[in-house]
Amino acid sequence: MFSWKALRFRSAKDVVLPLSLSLRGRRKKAKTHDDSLGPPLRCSRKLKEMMIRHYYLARLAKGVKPVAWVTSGAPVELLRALDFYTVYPENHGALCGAGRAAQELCAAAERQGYSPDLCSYARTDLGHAFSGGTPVGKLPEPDLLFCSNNICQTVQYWFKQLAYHRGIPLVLFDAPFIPDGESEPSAAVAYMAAQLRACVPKLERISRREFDENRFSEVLRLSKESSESWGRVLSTLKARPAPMTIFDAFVHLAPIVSLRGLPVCLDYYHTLLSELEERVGAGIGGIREERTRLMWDNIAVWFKLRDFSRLFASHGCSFVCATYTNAWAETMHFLDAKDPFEALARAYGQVILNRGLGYRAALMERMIGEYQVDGLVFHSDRSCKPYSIGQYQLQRTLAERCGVKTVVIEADMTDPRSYSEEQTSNRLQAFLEM
Amino acid sequence: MNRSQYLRARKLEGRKVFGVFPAQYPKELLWAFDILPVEIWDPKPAACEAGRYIQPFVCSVVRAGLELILQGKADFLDGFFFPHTCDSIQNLMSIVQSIRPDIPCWFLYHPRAPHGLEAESFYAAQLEGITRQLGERFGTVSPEKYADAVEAGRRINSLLREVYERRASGELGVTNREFYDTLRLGEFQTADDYEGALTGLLRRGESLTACGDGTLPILVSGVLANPPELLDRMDELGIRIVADDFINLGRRIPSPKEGSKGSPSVEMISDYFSLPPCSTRGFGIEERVLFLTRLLERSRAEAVIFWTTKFCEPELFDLPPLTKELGKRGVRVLHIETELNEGVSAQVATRLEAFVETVNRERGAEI
Repeated sequence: MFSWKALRFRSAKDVVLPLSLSLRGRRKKAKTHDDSLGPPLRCSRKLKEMMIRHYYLARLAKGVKPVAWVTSGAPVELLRALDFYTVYPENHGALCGAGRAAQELCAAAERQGYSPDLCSYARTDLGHAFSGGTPVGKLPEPDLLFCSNNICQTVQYWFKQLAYHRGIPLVLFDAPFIPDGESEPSAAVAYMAAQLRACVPKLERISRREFDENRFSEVLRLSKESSESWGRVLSTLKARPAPMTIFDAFVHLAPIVSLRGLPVCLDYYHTLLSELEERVGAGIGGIREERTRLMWDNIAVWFKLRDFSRLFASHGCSFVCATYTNAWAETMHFLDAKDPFEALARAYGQVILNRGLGYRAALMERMIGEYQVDGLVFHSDRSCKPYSIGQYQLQRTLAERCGVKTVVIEADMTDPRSYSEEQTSNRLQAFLEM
Repeated sequence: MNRSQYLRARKLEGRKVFGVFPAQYPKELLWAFDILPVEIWDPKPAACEAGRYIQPFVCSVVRAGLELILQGKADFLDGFFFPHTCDSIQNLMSIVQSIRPDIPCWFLYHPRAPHGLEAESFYAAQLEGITRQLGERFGTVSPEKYADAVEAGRRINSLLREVYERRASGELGVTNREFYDTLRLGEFQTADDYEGALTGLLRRGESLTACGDGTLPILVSGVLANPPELLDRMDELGIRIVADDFINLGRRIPSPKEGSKGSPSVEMISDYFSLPPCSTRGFGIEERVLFLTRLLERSRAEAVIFWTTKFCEPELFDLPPLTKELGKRGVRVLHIETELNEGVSAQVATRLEAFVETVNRERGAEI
């Protein structure tokens, strides 16, 4: 059936966007480059265009495709099989943080009674809901909220608010936490797989589309291969010098978070991987002179990304791995199209934040060895309790087991009001002089 | 006899004692194994060690519990039980496992609402697993003993419902402080002793003058009634708490049921899924509003006080929409945020006083 909205969406996707992005690229002046950093990645431009395209098309998607707002750890493959256009409020929160728009949005949520002690991604998103403010122009109204608590319980508290304020359905994928010492979580896997099967008819009703198992299998394949490619991208950082830093990886993470299960995501990581392999071959590093190799724990401090990148580079410190970026490469090997629901349950139920601190310590110890890490920076993120509580203990454990130097900095992923420049500078200065 | 003396006396009788973190757990199952659960909500050890393990933005329930363990005041325990109530308690378990590997930990995940059939199966599988693990360590339990424990739980829940009903109808003339001091005995007493305490409270209430006249009937919602000095202040201001939606009390009392319909575990599962909606178990705003509205009607409370504990994320998220929805229904609402065991600030006392004056003025009552 003919539809103006569909025509507008298709023409924007196939004609207007490619043309305007190409013109934009020609007009764009090169940014000034910090001498302590390595040459910029060619792929960065492609990434930017991809994300502009994603958010621009999101504006036009309503009425053309069913729209879902999704948490970063939710099994989006189910939605892809039903042609949902997906938007990730966490990714949007990170964009707002990096663009220094989060503080105002957080304040808008606080004016509605939400406590400043709550997660700043949630406050940013709720602030957007109340004020309409966003650096990406406009987000499409969702038809569905799809949430998994495998990364934290906060996302459920937060999405519950969105469901209430917007009056739209919320589908939860409840992923039981796996404590240290627990063996194969078979009851939990059965529980998760049963939930996934049970939610298909509801998703079909909302999307007004029929669930196509062949398409589902194809999406799983794309997801698995994208995640494996992302893993290979990260593995290039084992080289000396590492061809990019984790600050670059925080940015290049966007497709695996937001576009997982789509061909464009897999294509992108193939291109990025080629470029990084080329840099490894040519001995080009993410920073000009790599003397010390570091690991980052927790979400990025989005509004300080560039500053931190320059600060560490100027001291010859290259971040070569992070638990955060690793999370999207860690469990996707469980994805198996032969038994898709159980595979999704295993892949999404066993992510780092859904496991005990003993598991995390062992993973970090392994990464320290594999990436030849000399030091560890823990970001104690006021907004993220599951990631932050226990870091002091992890710090002691890993310093003792691996003999690496460590530091904890207190900050927040998007809200600059929870960050003290002076205090952090002093701590980092002392760490860098160790 | 204080709590510590009481617990040590029970240990001398040969009982095992488990430290249980908030909030919901299969108490009857532990009773069946002759394990006395002692709930760790708001102990009062001086803060000194916990800051080495957790950040200042973690709630005082978790902080105080960890402090207790670090100061060696939980050394006599035979085990810990960690229900998955929130992200903070989840990670606390990992910390405790690493600093006290000598004390075994048990864990229960709460399936988050909305609960389908798969949630019931999963909960049942977990109960089965815990029963098996406890059996391996402490010996198996006969079905009769398990049934007796479940029955004791039913009797206690029935008494609790009666206590709240009598309180609401103005027949239980004890102070707010006495009321909660008695109700909270269930956090560490044996089933028999707690049953006795509740029966005693009901008898005592009968002998006192009715307390309804001239007081302001209030519904309180939050984590727990701490600091207790706030209860004293409410007593002074003529507030009578007639119903609560506290995580440690009202939200742990299941709906009443007629007779016994199955095995002990079936009964426990049925009770679990009939608990009131709670922020920590994923219930939607609409369900919580409906529950609070019905509780208001049933208890004839004339206002609501949300009494939250600082940094309690699940409660803080629900607060704005609950306040808005109750406001739409013409219910007066006050929000007070406190830290455990830190007394009542002048600011909180003044806000409470102003709230009582406003509500009383509106209802035309004499203060």
